[in-house]
Amino acid sequence: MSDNKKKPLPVNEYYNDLYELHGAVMDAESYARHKEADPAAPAVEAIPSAEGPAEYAPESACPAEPAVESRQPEDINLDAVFSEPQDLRQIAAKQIEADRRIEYRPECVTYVIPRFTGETCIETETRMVFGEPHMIRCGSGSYVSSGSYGSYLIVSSYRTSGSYLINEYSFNQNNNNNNRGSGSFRLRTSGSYRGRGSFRLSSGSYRPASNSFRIPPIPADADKPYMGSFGWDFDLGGYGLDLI
Amino acid sequence: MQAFASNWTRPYAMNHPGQPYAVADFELLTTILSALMWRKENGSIRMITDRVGERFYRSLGLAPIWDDGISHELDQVPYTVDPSTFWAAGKLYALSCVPAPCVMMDTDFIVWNKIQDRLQGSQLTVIHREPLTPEIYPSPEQFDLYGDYAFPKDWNWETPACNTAFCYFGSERLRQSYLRQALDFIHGVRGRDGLIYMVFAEQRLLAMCAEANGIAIDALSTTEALFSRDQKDFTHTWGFKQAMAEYPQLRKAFCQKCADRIRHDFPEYEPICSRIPVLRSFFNRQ
Repeated sequence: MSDNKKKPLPVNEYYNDLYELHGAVMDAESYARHKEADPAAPAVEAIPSAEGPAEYAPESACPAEPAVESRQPEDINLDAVFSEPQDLRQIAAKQIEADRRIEYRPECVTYVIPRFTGETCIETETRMVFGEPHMIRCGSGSYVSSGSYGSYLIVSSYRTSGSYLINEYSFNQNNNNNNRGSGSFRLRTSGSYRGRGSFRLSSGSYRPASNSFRIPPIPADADKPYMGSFGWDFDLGGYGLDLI
Repeated sequence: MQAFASNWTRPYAMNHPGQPYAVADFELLTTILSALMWRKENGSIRMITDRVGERFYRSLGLAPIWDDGISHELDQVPYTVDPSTFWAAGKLYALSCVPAPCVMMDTDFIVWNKIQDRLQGSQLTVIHREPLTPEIYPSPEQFDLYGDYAFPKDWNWETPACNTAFCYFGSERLRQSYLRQALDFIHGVRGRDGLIYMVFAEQRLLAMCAEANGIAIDALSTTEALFSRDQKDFTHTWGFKQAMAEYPQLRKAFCQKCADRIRHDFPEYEPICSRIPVLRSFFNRQ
């Protein structure tokens, strides 16, 4: 049994610009206004800086550098303070969307094939170079990339999971034409990467190199990853479907 | 046998900012079939959700499919739980509302026959065990833990995980221990990942927790047997949902199959289903 007795993880460990006051999560502007109106607060506290990672809302007052003009509670129009609904889900959702825009930028991906040898045996190193370090977050699902490199068409699919901060990763693949193999990924920067891939190489096709690192869209009406039987080398989807 | 299904809508709100709550047609149909078949063969069932979910189901007229009612305890899931990482945390919080013995069942899981006899005497029964595939169940050092959280020392990290699409808790002591440890873990990690943290808290932890408590884990079947055409007891759409999301024709055929089954086995619910906008076309077919 765990002997964990600590406080829950503050939400602002996950999301920048989110603050917590008496257990409620809010954005910086709301935090300032609620802090002003907080009758329990002996004095106005400084608002955590908007620059850099958000800090946990301080418990102690900081009268030396007040970020919000000090007012007495009776001066506050509470109706105005609480006039706007605090839909915490939407506040967090905005941050999630911002993350996603940063995380999923297929246009940043380029493939570099430094070498391959032989007619039928290819040794490739595929490198994905990003414009700047950024977080990639992968849930369940298939990542499909395709492109033509030299005289060989490479089609690959990966099933991955993990969160990793990278600016580059590469994998080496030794394979024969028309065979499948599995690759191992090497991470050159920080974080960890877990992945398994299968690569099908076929000869005789030549197309201009393209970058089509496709991340499956989240289904419009899905609220969670669609888990599958992808862990056991057979991906049959569900079972007992014929019983319906 | 008392069963419950659950639906926590906060992950949807996170993924679909500004959009009204919705459920895919195929998910709605399996939700209906799952509840009705359980009632027909095995006992009563309730839906534990939040106010958004409750309002949604009631607005569709679906409240009667759960004979034990709809309730919104999942409003109480704390905001410290990251819905993108722990998208199924609602299931655990729902379990905290129902004492043992009880059955926890996913809405995409259908039991077609009586199974009460197979649960008798068991302290924990799951639908099947899962091998510890590293991509899904990584080693403990792969988790980004927070603060002073530490994994319990009596966990056996070699024991296969439990798939909890269907899970029977016969032991109240295990239910409480599992919930305590799972929620400890949920609040004890920093990592953001849509897969490994959730399946650990929900599935692998259960197996280790049961074993540490000296409780035998019974499995109704194996993955090999479940995927065989010979088994006639269980349906789990599982990863097939991803295929349906990608292939409209597949989705349509599946939905029609579900609708036909509802119309055939539960004709009294056809009027309700035929008034649901996303299901109308499957029930009003001439």
